[in-house]
Amino acid sequence: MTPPIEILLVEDNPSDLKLTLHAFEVHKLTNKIQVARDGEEALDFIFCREAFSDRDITCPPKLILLDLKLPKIDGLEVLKAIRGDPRTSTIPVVMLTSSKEERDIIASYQLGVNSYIVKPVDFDQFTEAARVLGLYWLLLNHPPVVPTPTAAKG
Amino acid sequence: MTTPNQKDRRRSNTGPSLRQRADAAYKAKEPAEKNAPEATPSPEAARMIIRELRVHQIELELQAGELRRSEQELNEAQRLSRIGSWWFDTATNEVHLTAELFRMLGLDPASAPPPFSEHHRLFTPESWQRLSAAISRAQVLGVPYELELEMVRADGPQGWMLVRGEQVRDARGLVTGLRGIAQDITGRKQAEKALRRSEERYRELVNNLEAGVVIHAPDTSIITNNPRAMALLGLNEGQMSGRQAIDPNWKFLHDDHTPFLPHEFPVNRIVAEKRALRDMVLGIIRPGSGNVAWVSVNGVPVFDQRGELSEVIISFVDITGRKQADDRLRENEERFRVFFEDSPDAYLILEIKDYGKISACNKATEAMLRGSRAQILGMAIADVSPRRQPDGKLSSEAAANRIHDTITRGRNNFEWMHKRLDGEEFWAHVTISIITIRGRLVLLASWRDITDRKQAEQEITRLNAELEHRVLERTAELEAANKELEAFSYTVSHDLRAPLRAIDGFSRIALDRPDTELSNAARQALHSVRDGAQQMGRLIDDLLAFSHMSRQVVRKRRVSPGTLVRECLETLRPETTGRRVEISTGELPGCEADEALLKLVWMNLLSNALKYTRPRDPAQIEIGCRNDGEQVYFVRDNGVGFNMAYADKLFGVFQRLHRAEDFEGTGVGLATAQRIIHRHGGRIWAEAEVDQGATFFFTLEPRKTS
Repeated sequence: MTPPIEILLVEDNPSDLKLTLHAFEVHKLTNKIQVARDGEEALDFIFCREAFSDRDITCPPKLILLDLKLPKIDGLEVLKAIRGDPRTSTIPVVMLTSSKEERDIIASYQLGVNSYIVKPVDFDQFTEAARVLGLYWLLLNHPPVVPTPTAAKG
Repeated sequence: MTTPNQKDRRRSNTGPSLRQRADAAYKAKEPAEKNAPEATPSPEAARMIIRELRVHQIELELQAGELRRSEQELNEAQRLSRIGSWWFDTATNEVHLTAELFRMLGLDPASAPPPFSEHHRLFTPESWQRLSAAISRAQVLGVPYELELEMVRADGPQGWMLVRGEQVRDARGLVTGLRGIAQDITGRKQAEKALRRSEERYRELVNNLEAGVVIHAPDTSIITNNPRAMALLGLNEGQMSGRQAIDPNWKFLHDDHTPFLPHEFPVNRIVAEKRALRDMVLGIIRPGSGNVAWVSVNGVPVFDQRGELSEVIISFVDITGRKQADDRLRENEERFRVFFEDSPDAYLILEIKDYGKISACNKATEAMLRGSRAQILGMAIADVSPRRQPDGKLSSEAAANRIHDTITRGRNNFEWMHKRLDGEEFWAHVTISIITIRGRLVLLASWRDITDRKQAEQEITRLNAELEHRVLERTAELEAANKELEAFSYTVSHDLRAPLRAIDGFSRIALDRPDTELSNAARQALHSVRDGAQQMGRLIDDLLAFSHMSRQVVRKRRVSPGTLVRECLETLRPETTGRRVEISTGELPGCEADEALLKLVWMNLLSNALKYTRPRDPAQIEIGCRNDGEQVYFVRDNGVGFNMAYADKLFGVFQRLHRAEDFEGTGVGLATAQRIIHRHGGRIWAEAEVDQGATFFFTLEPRKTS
């Protein structure tokens, strides 16, 4: 049995993907990262559909890092879907994006994002951001106990 | 009444002699004497003598009676003619005066005549002097005299007598005395005096008349004139006398200032027409000065008993003042007439009493209504309007309301649909006011044909609609463009950063490899790659901020710049670490601005000031506000400054006046500041000199145009 996935990283840009993974690797944060390359794949993973149908929805990742601009289904749509389902609505979601647009920030928070982080161009700042991010959400933050369907029934 | 006897007596001079009459009387009276005894020597002779004596006696009696009668007649004649006579006996110095002379002198005829030595008392000294001289001349030289003498009468008022005297000689030619007559001429003298008084009065009157008076002979030459005439004509006596009306030196003007022709001169007209001339206005061009005196001339011809023209009397009064006033009035009238008549606007006078009937109008009215004055006058407003106004009201009622309004308010103006006499309707702008003409209230209306304006208004409405449509179109286009721009900047924001991050990130990863794997040159190159990527990242950030700011709405409210400056300096504190920086902040009055945007301006200016004073020790920065009729905020530094030749490039996007290796920057800060200031309606400018520091000024209000 593979250890549970701690981070779902939704990133379509291969360079950003590599750099993000590198940053986590440098700080030895986790090797339990699941990558989704577009919104659809992200939702399949989260809701245990298609290729991920054997996953257990009651074992959600500790953190979802979500890019805004994504092929097929964009980041805000993904966020909306996550928050719209009681089984996933409490999963911490952090926007990790290049956009500094205010409307993106506002829309994200209105949809219930937990944090919004602009990816710095400077790689040193970028790795620092990744380190702080991982430290906070994986080690310091206490996620709520996810209500299981049985618990919900009971 | 005379008796036949008296008639006889009068004839006595030519009838029988006294002797015959005495003889006849003796015979009638003494018939008895025929029988009387005759005296001796012979009774016949004695009778004859007695008879002769009786006849002689009767003759003497008759003679005496005759004399008495003659004397009475003389006296009577003298009394009636008021002529007395006198004689003076040189030998005895006796003076004989007739009764009439006594009366004349106021003496009692019964008394003795006054002796010659008393005669000087009878006359005034002056008269006596003349009389005594004349008497002497008459006595000695035999010169007869005739004198008018003033009497001093004992009994009353003074009187005048005419005295004639001459020598009396006896048969041997010796002078025995003087004799003469005296006539009472008091009445004549009084009449003469009265006449003289009257003449004097008349002369005085004429000489003092305000009117100039000239009397011409029938040949028009001047007989006489009064001083006023000379004054008015501007001539002296010598120049006046004998002058004739054909004299070319007379220069007269008609009422309308055209010159008189000689035959039009008043005197010539009267001579030619033989009738009076009344109130002719005439201008006299004064010789010399050329000034014009205006007179009103009256003239009458005077005819003698035969009906021939004997004189022409011309009188004239100065009406210069009145004439000038008249001329001015006429000029005013002319001006008014031109104004009224030739105005491009139609002017009409409407009678209030006659419910707005047109009583006068000008040419423009005729043109506007396409009718003649004869047709227009007397028409009512309703006659020159369509039956109903465009708002549906009856023109006659609406017009009455308008007139009523005008009377209430004194003035009114409105737009009105009129109708020309040929039936065409037109829009007019009507102005009506109440005016008084000779105490009568009337309405003065002016009409301006605004058909063109109405058309223009329609055109404007159409153009406005078109414009609005176009604005909508353009707005839509603009909105589309804005959307595109937003999409563009979104793309820039999101997509351009990712490759930069890759460039920087992978360079960094490469650099993280152990030293042996990369040469120093390669490391150097990778560092340059990273610098470039990071610089481009900043450029993108600034550019996005700049474009973002441009689209942001300016929300003005009361802002305290002092607070903003303190906050900015706080933010910029890291920039001052390790440096000596002296910042002095003056009074910064409040202003109306978008707080966030204004803070950005201060931030840019202050960070620039700190940046460009980096080589200075100490750096000096002065922040303040001066009032040049408007609030001008400024930031002054003692930094490196710049060449004013490039001042125009200062505020351009990506324009830089310094090399990046000297002073970092993207060239967006001042462009941002300028755009913010412009969006507030203010201005921003700089004054600087190379190495002498720079001062940036800005205002936030549009400049007041005064």
